[in-house]
Amino acid sequence: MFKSVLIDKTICNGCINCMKRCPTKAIRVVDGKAEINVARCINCGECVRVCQKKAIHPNFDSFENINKFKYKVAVPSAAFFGQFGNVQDLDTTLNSLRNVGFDDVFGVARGSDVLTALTRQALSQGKLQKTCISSSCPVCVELILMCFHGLKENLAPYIPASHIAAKMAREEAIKKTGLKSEEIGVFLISPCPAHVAAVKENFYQNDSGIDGVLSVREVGIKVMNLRFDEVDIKANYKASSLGLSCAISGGEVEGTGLDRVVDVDGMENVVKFLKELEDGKHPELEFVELNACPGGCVGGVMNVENGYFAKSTITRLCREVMKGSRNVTDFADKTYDYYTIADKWKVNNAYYKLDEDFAQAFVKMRKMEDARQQLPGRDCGMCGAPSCKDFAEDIAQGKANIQQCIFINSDDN
Amino acid sequence: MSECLKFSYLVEGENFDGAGAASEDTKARLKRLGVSKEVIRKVAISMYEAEINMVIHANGGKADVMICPDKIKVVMKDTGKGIENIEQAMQEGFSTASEQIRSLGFGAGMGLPNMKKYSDSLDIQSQVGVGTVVTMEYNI
Ligand SMILES: Nc1ncnc2c1ncn2[C@@H]1O[C@H](COP(=O)(O)OP(=O)(O)OP(=O)(O)O)[C@@H](O)[C@H]1O
Ligand code: SF4
Ligand code: SF4
Ligand SMILES: [Mg+2]
Repeated sequence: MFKSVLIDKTICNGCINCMKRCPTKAIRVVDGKAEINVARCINCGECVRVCQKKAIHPNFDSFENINKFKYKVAVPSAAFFGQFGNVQDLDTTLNSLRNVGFDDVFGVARGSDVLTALTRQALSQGKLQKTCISSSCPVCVELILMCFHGLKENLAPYIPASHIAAKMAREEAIKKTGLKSEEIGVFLISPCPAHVAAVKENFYQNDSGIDGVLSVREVGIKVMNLRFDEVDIKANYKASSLGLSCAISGGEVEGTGLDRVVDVDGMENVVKFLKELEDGKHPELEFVELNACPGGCVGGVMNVENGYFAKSTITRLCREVMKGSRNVTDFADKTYDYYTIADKWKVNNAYYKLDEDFAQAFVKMRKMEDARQQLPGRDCGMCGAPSCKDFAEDIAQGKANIQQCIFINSDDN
Repeated sequence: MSECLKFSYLVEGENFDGAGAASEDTKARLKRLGVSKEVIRKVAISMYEAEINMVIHANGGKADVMICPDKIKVVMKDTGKGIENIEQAMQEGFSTASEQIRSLGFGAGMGLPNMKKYSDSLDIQSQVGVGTVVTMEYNI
């Protein structure tokens, strides 16, 4: 399994901040160092955000990889455009990518336009389960598949806008250059460790031909070192303001044109909202947009700029876009499976199920309960698990020993 | 798989913020055991309703949950004011909730009907001034 975040053990001091924050309890502190159970990691980046020592880093592809290809296409996420507060227009940012080594640029926002049109049509024709939950944020999709199984059927079956954009970018490049597909490198520029993981693991079950996922931060810093007045404008920004606003929480919801919609951002808020949805509250909702990051993808951990400032920049750029006339890309020329996951969404049992076998799960729950009775319920984290409950579960799974509890140990002395 | 797993919860009366903790915890346990999501949904909805009823109508009580290989049994016991006419209370829309309770979003009179709908058997024993025992069973 791909590791979307890496812990530098030489820097980690075992402070338990990340362990406490992880929404799926994927982290344990073993021998004074944090360790991630990849099977449970949903790639949210919360641990990266909260680590004071900066010991945890997102894992993404090296920029040098673009040089393996004859013709290099950058597919920047909409959040990329929020990183340069001093640039007044989209075309400069877009074309700056040519100056750092790409041959062509195709914005994810164009994919968003397509996805929006597609979703809108499907919703109006009643083709999607009500309440439809957007599948755009891979973290939220993984969270549902791991912790909210009751909402699985509500997930939209679509691949994200970045994957749609990547497919379109490749087709366009082949047409433009006459090169063979393997001579063309298509690279996402993303703020999101989960998108890196999604590509590496083919999470969206659809071959979108993405050759690598670069970080907005790494590429953004290269762009910042350029002189913007020297950027040669060869390509024009082609998406709508709606596509661009998909970097901000609420952008997708706006695109549906529907009334009974909601957008939720920030991990804790998403968890809380999903609980309510699973319990059958808010049955009137038609569409739900979820963003694991605060403020939407502008708050992703692989960005350079402060997410709220990036949001302000994007909002300003959106107004610019609305002034000009842009051709919004059409989706009608493709078949349905071009945009959808190949099979149904599958639940992931790594979080809840104690055992695949019901009888074994029973035995483990009893063990877990016995341990829980003995533990103090202080959730101090000193045993290396985020809470007494999680520690009890580790004991039941045979992964920990009750003597690791400092309260039990000191009682014995 | 010899015996069943048993869990008990104290449900505090008039505590609207903490209300639902017992059913929430039970739901998490059923997920851990790998019980089907349909059964979990039934238990979660009906147990939540019974729990809320204890909070608003009976000043709290006790919830006992028994999880067996083939069925789940939930017993909610309180020493509250009791239900005068159970048949009437079971009707959709019947409620004695005060204005204040209604302003909190409860009191639509749908709790008991939903408990009936979402459990495989529902038994209510109640005596005015003594208390109420609600027993719900579900086949796994
Ligand atoms: N544990 C209880 N103790 C005393 N009275 C109860 C209890 N449970 C229910 N009742 C009575 O039965 C009535 C109907 O209950 P029911 O749960 O159906 O509706 P409600 O609680 O009033 O409203 P809702 O559940 O829709 O919020 C209540 O208004 C109350 O008078
Ligand atoms: S990325 Fe998220 S899920 Fe994975 S270990 Fe970090 S906090 Fe936990
Ligand atoms: S909100 Fe955006 S950046 Fe953050 S995890 Fe989700 S898709 Fe990735
Ligand atoms: Mg009720």
